[in-house]
Amino acid sequence: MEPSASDPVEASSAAAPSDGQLVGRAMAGERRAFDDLVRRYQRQAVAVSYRLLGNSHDALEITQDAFLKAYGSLSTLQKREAFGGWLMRIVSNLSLNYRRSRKTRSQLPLDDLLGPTDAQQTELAGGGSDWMAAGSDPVQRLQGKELGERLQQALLQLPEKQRLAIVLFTIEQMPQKQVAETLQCSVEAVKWHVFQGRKKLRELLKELL
Amino acid sequence: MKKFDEQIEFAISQYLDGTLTEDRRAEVEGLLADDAHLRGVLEEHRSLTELLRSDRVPEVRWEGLSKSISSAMDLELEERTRRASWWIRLRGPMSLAAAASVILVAGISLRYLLGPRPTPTPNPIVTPPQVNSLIVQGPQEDRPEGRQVAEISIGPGGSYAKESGLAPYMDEIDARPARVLMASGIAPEQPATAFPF
Repeated sequence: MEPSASDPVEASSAAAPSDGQLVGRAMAGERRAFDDLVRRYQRQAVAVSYRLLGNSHDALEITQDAFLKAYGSLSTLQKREAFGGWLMRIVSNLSLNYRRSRKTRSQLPLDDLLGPTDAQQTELAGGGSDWMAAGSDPVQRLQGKELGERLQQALLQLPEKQRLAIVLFTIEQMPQKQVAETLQCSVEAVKWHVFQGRKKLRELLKELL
Repeated sequence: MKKFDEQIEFAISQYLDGTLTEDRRAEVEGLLADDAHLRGVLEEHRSLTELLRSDRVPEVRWEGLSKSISSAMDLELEERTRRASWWIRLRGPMSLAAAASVILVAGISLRYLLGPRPTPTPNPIVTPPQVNSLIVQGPQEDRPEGRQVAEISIGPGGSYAKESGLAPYMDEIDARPARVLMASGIAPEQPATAFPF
């Protein structure tokens, strides 16, 4: 019985500049350096926001807002190498606040960035999950969509810290240290939140396991 | 017992995530080898993790998204530049106004400090210093109506009471009359049968 790796693969390869270097260059006024950070973290940002909101269109808006906010606040980032965790904290906060207020701004139309099936599904689901929307079999797609909605509903029943810990660590497989930075707690606390979240989800999704 | 179970389950959760120390991992593996129920718990945790990870992220044209974010940043920067240029344009007149205010205040202050002093009047009116006075009212001395025959002093008062040796008793001494006057005879308006005391 081999346990899985604790800290999954880093977002950047060895040859690529580190987050700290890119942040430094962006702070010196090099816009392309920040574009590189966007390309490096946009998938993770969309995924985290999507799992917290359950809606792909909202997730895209939050991601865009989060990068804008991060760019405007780069000077407040104390540890440049911790950019990833810091950005995920912005994404999480914006997503959770968005859930509370259901109010955001859109500077640019984002619907055309979604795959065709994603855009249709978002519309059909009225903002619900579009799990496996790209699947070729409609029955399989519908089953997948229902399952995705079940998972979203179960996740939404968790307290915020547990939900974030599950989303960031268990689902997105971010390193525990980065999750701890995002949640602003200790690594031990992250382990506990993951465990408590799993316990509740086991109860909520018992018939699917 | 429940707490013990929770601790074991917590250890199993960490085992699944690979975050246990080597010793602790060996310990958990020992427990799992002996207990089918615990193996079931581990399997449930593993299935749950796989289920959660199977919920896919929406399909996004990532290059398009990064371009969109870049454009939004351009707009934001443009807006900031516009705000900054307004500030730069305002800064010229505002700094001139500030400099003028400083010069004005400095001029008034210098005129006040270095200007001619007012000459003193030859016969200034001297106002007497204000004296604080305290009036203490107390009982009036009962004077006998008849002819005074004796005066008995019954204790120090006034200046005696201020002596340092008597200071602790000053309150009591001051509360008593300093003297008693005695008179002889009956007051003319009093009846003859009346007892004098």
